[in-house]
Amino acid sequence: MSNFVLLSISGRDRPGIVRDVAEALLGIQANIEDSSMTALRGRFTMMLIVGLPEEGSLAALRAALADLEQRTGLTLQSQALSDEEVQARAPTPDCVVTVSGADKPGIVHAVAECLGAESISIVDLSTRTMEAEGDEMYMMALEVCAGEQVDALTAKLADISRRIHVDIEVHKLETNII
Amino acid sequence: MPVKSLITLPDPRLRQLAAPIDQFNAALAELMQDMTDTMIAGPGGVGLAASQIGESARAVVVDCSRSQRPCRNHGMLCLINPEITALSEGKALGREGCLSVPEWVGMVPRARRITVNYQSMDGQRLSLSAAGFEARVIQHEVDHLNGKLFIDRVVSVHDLVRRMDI
Repeated sequence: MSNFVLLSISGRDRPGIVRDVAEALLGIQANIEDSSMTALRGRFTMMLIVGLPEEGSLAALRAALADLEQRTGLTLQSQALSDEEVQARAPTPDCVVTVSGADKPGIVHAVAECLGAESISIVDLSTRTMEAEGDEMYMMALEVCAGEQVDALTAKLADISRRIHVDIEVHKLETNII
Repeated sequence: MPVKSLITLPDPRLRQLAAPIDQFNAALAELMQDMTDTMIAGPGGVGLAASQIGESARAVVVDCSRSQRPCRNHGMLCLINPEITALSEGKALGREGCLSVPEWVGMVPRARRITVNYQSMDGQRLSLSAAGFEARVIQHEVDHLNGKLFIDRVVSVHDLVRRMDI
């Protein structure tokens, strides 16, 4: 096991959640390495990989988290990461797929099944529902690693677009090193 | 002429406002040649600001004819004291990286069309209009002269959804 721990934390949204969590981590000299934090409706959600100063500080982390949970009412989970997980870098996406249309169950599944069948990895995904002229609009953006399969993927997603009546666009990400 | 080594973050010189050039002499010609050689030697090869080789001087070189993807361009440009005087309201999102910010890339909105006033290597005052990728490169390089990096301008994936779909 490494000195890195994955924390998943969420709570009813209010100003000061990030401060409270960061303060608790700083108190035990834990370093926030990589993180993703976002408000989903009225819930603030955080996923963090934190580095602990040395072996044995896992107990200090657990104690700090228990204290944090009690003081703030946040929901917390922690999981130690393997060395392999820590050293791996998330793959670099080469495409962004955007999906939009009237909300209904099965949109994420249809798109993800198509990607899974082609062994295309999703690096980042976010979805939002929003009101548009009284209707619920659904939007999804995925960053994926399509590699050579980008044209095949585009064709398959066009089929899905027709089948479930949503708009799907595939944008190639070209990086310009300037 | 030597290829200079590029400075990278967190070198503080990347964050400084570069000094205007008022001497149009052999030293300036030498600087521009060094910058051109360094640009051509780099993996991107389409633009370089003097700040990136640690020189505090308002000078950039741009050559979008070297772009891997063909694009409209003015060929090799040496822009002294460049000043972007007009930016189109329309912005395009593009994924940018920078030789001075290794390993990072991000989605950066840039004006699609710009007009830039500048001086040539003999001090003549000129102006040109650029569009598309060349406009992006010039904006990126002029940012360097002002201590700005593309990482200051990145937008999130949520912006990407909004910009593309609405």
